[in-house]
Formats: sequence, C-alpha cells, structure tokens
Amino acid sequence: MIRRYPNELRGHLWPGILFLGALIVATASSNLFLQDAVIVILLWAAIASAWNISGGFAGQLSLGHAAFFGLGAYTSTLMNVHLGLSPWVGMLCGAVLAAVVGVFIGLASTRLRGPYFAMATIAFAAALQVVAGRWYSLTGGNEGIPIPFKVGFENFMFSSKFSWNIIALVYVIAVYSIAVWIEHSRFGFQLAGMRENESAAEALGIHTRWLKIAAISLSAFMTALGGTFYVQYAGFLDPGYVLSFSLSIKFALMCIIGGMATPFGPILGALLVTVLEMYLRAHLGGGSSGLYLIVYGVLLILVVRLMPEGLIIGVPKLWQRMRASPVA
Amino acid sequence: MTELLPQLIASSILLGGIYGLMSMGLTLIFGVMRIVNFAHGEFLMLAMYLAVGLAACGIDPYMGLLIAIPVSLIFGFAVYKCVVSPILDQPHVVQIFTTLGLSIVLQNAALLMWGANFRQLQLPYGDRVILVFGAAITLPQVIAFAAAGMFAAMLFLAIRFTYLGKAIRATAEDRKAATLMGIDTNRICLLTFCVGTACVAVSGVLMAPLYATYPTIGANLALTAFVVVVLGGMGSIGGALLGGMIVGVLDVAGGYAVGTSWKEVLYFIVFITVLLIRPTGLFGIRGAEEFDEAR
Amino acid sequence: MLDVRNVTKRFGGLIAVESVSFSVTAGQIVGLIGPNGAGKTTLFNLIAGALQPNEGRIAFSGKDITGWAPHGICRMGLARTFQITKPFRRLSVLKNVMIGAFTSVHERCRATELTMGILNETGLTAWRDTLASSLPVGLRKRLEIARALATKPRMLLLDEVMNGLNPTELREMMHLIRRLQASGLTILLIEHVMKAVMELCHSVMVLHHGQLIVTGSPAEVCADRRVIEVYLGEEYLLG
Repeated sequence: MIRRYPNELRGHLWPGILFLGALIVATASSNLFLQDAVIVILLWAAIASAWNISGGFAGQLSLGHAAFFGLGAYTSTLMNVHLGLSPWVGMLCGAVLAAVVGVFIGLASTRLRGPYFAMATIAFAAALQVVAGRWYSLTGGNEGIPIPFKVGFENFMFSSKFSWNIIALVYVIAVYSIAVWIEHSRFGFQLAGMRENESAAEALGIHTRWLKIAAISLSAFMTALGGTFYVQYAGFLDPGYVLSFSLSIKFALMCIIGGMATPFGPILGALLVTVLEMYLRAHLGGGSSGLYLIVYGVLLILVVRLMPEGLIIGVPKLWQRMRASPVA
Repeated sequence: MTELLPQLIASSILLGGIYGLMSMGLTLIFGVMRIVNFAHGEFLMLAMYLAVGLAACGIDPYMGLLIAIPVSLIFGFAVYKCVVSPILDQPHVVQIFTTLGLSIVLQNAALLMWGANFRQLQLPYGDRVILVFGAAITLPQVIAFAAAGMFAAMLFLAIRFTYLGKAIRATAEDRKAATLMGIDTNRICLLTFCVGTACVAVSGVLMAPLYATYPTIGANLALTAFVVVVLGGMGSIGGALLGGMIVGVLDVAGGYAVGTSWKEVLYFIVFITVLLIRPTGLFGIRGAEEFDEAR
Repeated sequence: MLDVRNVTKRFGGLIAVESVSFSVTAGQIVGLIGPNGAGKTTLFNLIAGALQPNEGRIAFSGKDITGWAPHGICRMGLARTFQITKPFRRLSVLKNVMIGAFTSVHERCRATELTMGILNETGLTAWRDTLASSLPVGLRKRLEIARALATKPRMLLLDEVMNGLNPTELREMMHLIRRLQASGLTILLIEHVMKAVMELCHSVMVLHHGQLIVTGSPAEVCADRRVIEVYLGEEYLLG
C-alpha cells in the first residue's frame, strides 16, 4: 500500500511525527508543564482544524467561531450542573446544538460575502457573549461556572495528564482525518471549486448553498467538542474567555499562519502560535495587555500580506523560487 | 413617560448626529475602496486620546480640531501607504485580517502607552445645561451635533458638486472604468482614506467630552459605527447620517425600554437582521452582492 | 431540446432582451450572432439560470426551467461556458475538470477516468498538471469547454469560444465542436468569428438591441437586408 500511494502518505509524515511526539510526551514525560503544553497545543490544533473546514476549505471566513466553542462549553456544563448528566452526553448535545446553529450561520453565509459575513459572525458571537453574561439565572452571568470536580471517565474529569493527553490526541486525529477525507473527496473538490470561483462552480452543477451550510455545520460540530474539552480541562467556564472575540481571531490566525485548506496547516499554525504565545507571555508580560498582543497583530498583518496561503504553501514556494533563480 | 419624551427625542437626535459623523469615514472608505476598515474604532480611540492629551496641555478640544485634522491626515496617509494600498486588490481574507491586525496593534499599543484607566475630558463649560422644550442638553452635545451636520453637509456638497467629488464617485462605482477614464484612482483612494480618517478624527475629538476615553472604547464604538453604516448603506454619506439617527433612536429608546445591559443585544439583533434582509442598507451602493470572487 | 418563449429581461429602464422566442432542435449547432451589446450573453445568462427573466418561459428537454438556479440547470444536462473565462485559477487543469466531473459521477476513480478521457478529447492532456492561471487564452477556452463537458451535458452553451484564437487554434476548436456535435451534443454558440458561424452552424439567429430579428440558415442570414443594415449600417444596403 505504501508503494501505491507514496505521495499521499508523505503528506502525512509531519503530522504523524507530531502526533507520535505528543504520544511520547504523554507516556514518557513527567514534566507537568510540558504535558500541559502538549495538551493545549493538541486542543488548539484540533479546533483550528475544525475552523479550517469552514474558513479554509469552504472559504467562509467566520470570525465568530467562539460562539460554537462557547455553545459546546455551556451545553455540557449546564447539563452537568443542572441535570447531572455526564459531560460526554452534554458534549454531544452541545455539538449537535452548535451544528444546528451552524446551519443558520451557513444560511447567512449564502447571503453575505466576505467582510459582511465576517461582521455578521462577529456580531453573533458577541451577542451570545452578552446574553451568556447577563442571563444570570441560567448561566451564572459573568462570574462563570466552576466545573464540578468529580474524577472519573464518565465525568470527563481525570487526575492524570496522561488521560487528557490521549483524549486530546484522539480529538485532533479525528479532525485531521476528516480534513484529509475532505481534501480528497467529492465534497472537497466541489468546495475547492466554490472557493476559487463561485459562479463558475454553480455553472458546473455545484449546489453552493448546501456546501456552505454543510461545511459550516460540520465545522461548528467539531469546534463545540473542543469547547467542552477545554472547560473540563480548565475546570472553569468563563464567558469572557470562552465566547471572546480574541478566541475567534486565534482560531483563524492559526489557520492563516499555518495554511488554509490543507489538513496539516492548522496543526502547524496551532503549534507555532501556541509556542509563540507561551514564549511571548513569559518574556514580554502577560495578561490581556501586553506587547505580545501587539506582536500577534503585526504577525497577522505580515503573514497575511506576504504568505496569504500560509507557511505550508508559502515556505515550499519560497524555497523553490530560491532554488530556481540562479545565484547572482 | 410623556415628560421624558422631549428628553428622549433630543438625546436621540443629538446622539444620532454624532453617530452619523462617526460613521461617515467608514462608509466613505468602503464606498470608494470596498475595504471594511476593522480598525475604524481604533482610529476613533486615538482621536479621543489626542483630544485628552491636548486638553492636558491646556488646549481646548474645539480649538484642538485645528491640530487634530492635519495630524489625522498625516496619520491616514501613513496608514494608507503602509497598510492599505498593498491590499486594495487582494482577496477578502487578506483585507479583513490586515485591518484586523492593525486594530489589534493599535488597541494594545494604546493599552501599553496609556494604561487601561478611564480618562474623562472635563470641559469648564461642559456641564452647562440648556433646557429646550423640557429636554436637558449639554453644550458639548450641541457642538458635536452641529459639527456633525456641518461636516456631513460639506462632504456631501463636495462630493456632489466638485470635480474631485465626481472623480470620487466614479472610482466608487467602478475603479477600473475610472482608471480608463483618466482618473488617477490611486490618488483618489489615498485622498478618500485620508479624508475618511480626518472625519473619524473630528468625531473622536468631538466625542471626547461626552464619553470616557479608554483603549478598548474603539471596539464598542466601532460596533455602533458598523451598525450605522450597514443600516444606512455602505458608501452613502446621507445614509450614514440617517443610519446614525436611527441608531441614536434605537440607543436611547432601547436603553429606556430594556435597560443598558441588554441594549447591546438589541444592537446585534438589528445589525444581523439588516445584514440578512437588506445588506445594502437604505441607500447603499451594491457592495455585498458585488464582491467578485478569487481575484 | 431547448425552447425559449417570449423571454424578456429588463435592468431598470433598459430592456436587454425583448420577447425573444426560439427553439433549438436536438443534435444541431445553432449560432447566435449580433453586434456588441445586443444582449447575447444576457440571453445565455437567462437560459443558464444566472439571471431570472422578467417575462417568458424557458424549457429544456421538455421541462420548464424558468427561474431555476444554475446548478440545477447544469444537472439537467445544460452546461455553459463563460465569455470571459472563469478557470479555477489556483488549481491544476486536471483538478478543474475533475470538479466538473464530480457533478456527473460520485466516486473519485470514475471521476478521474472521465476527466482523463475529456482531457484527451479536448487535447489538454499535456497540460493536466499546469495551473489554470498560467494557461494562455486558447487553452483556457478549451479548459472551459472541457470542464463543462465533464458534467456530461446534453446541450452546450458556448459563449465566444473562438475569441482571441489564432488560425490554427481556430481550426482545432472548430474540429472539436464538430466532434462534439457528432457525438450527440446540441450546441448553441455565441460567436463573432463569421467563418466559424458559416461553417459550423445549421442555423443562425441574429440578435439586435435585445430582439431576435432574423433566423435562418447561415447563407440566408448573411444575405438578409436587415442583418447587413445592423452590422454595417444603411450605406451598405444595395438599392
């Protein structure tokens, strides 16, 4: 089999190495900080990949994906706290809810192009954040909700980092596999046509409306899963974070830096952004203020201008151009 | 309730005018260059800080306009050359994230330089209240409103009746065609961006006596500006003013009806609804439908 | 195969297409000619679903397709090309055609098979890995056609595919169109290149100011007074 698909498998080399690395850290390392870092990277990699389904593959730039993240987080937490249901059940419910909401957002995307759609998604997530913050009786308002700490698989709560790691790994591999499937499937090809030239795609029989709705809905589903994971891991649900605009930007940023519409791009982007963030926060001061956000902003501008297709595509291209041009 | 009516009306109108002025720059820039400036709020914020700074030096903000306008023109020029002109023909993703990145940079730079504290510009005559038909209005409000009207009128007349204005309208309608007609569209875009920035700066200075100044106020005001522009229609100055009025009414009436905490939600609902039902707004040029694919 | 009845399209006060009626019989090559701005591409857009007519009905293969969206019409078997080509620029020629192929087949291997066959038929095999954006005009036009063919249409709307081709490319394109018709496709083409119209078409329609003024065989149309007047002006009318 390897001989038949050498090219295709080669594309999985780097992600494979990364996943393996994560697994090694999970099993072998006793450094809590490192293990935590790996878990966080895997989580963001998965969510960035999920964003990529709608933003990269379908070309619908949502800047409100925190809404789905938050929906997942809130659904599982509220069902846990108020109804005593296992967070796993809540996670599934949250993901389904997010998918349904995603259908509506998808419908909106068929009416709105480019910046208009981006604005609508920003407004939607922001509205959700305000509602979550003010609806005290349901959500505890801006104070957030602490996650009940009851260790056990059915409670989605683990005392060892190893378990979190494995779950995060499963999650990211799942989303990655979906991305790979999309890339080579009829769905993916049609998405590619749609994002290259929508009217031409329509003229070729592609039902762009359905594609957009499907992509955004799927993306919402996968993102919401991450929302549940995050709050379970963090132990606390803070609406100011979980539904925040900066989170939405982060998802998009990771894909843009890494490479949109490729399965590995978001993973690479997540790795780079998270590592960069950790480094900057340690050296340039943390909190919500700080130089490191300025670096983010500048990075965003530079990457999007110079390598809009992301590092995955930009770097090999640059490399090829450098090799092709004769040394003066 | 009827005793409050004149107050509500007066507040709405005054607020509406200010909102209109605030949004004019945004709509002008979009109209001509089809770029949504996600850093619009930050421009406003910077202007407010400028006013505060000038006041700290003892310069009355209204006099300070004479300084603010040229400064903003230069600022607009710099931003255009460095950030905006390279992305004029780039795909949406590049445009959105470039201006978004700029917004992040400016917001956090302000935070870094001036801290997160709220500053309030206090004018010696700022507390003077005039009673008009039972409504209490302050002098800064009136001045802001008057200025809004004046600038809107000036802009409108300039665009309607001058040759430059025609060139701007032509560029707004079809940039390629305008180039073919011999219009230097690059310069028109530059000019528009600078004028738009100046508009924002003027409104920022005028709003400084009315609102607290802090680094993230840009985000809040930008939302209002976007709602105004979407309502009134991207690219229409008159629309911005009208949209401002509508949002002003919404703001005051909404605040009265559902309280300030839920007012924001009202904004969002209106915003999304208008976007979905009539993305071109009341008077807008056909912006949403006209976006062409993969450039 | 295609039946257009009293189709009218207005843009504000401008009437782009006025009460146009015609039929295209299966298996024929029909030409649509007329001066620039006559409304030819608008008519294509109306038939293909990119625009909705203000009045009139359009029927394809017996089914009323008035008001249908473009993708539905394509799936019914009516494919079109664009006057200004719209290739999927950052994708290879192969991928471009594959995307069309996926409309008619669902499995990837069959789509690849279909694509390779079409690339062969349209002479694009050598360029299959080239990016669509780096193709010259002649090949882009062929890519448009190849892509449309991949959707397994029964009728093709070709919008000025001869535009900008050199004589060799022109001949090849004409061969291609004849081959396509021979294989059973019905073709309606907008053309300015008269040589192609004369040699390829079974019948020709002339559009002027949105109205269909003449229909007939190529020879008849060329000799028609009104056509000469429309194209060349009154001075050229003899007598």
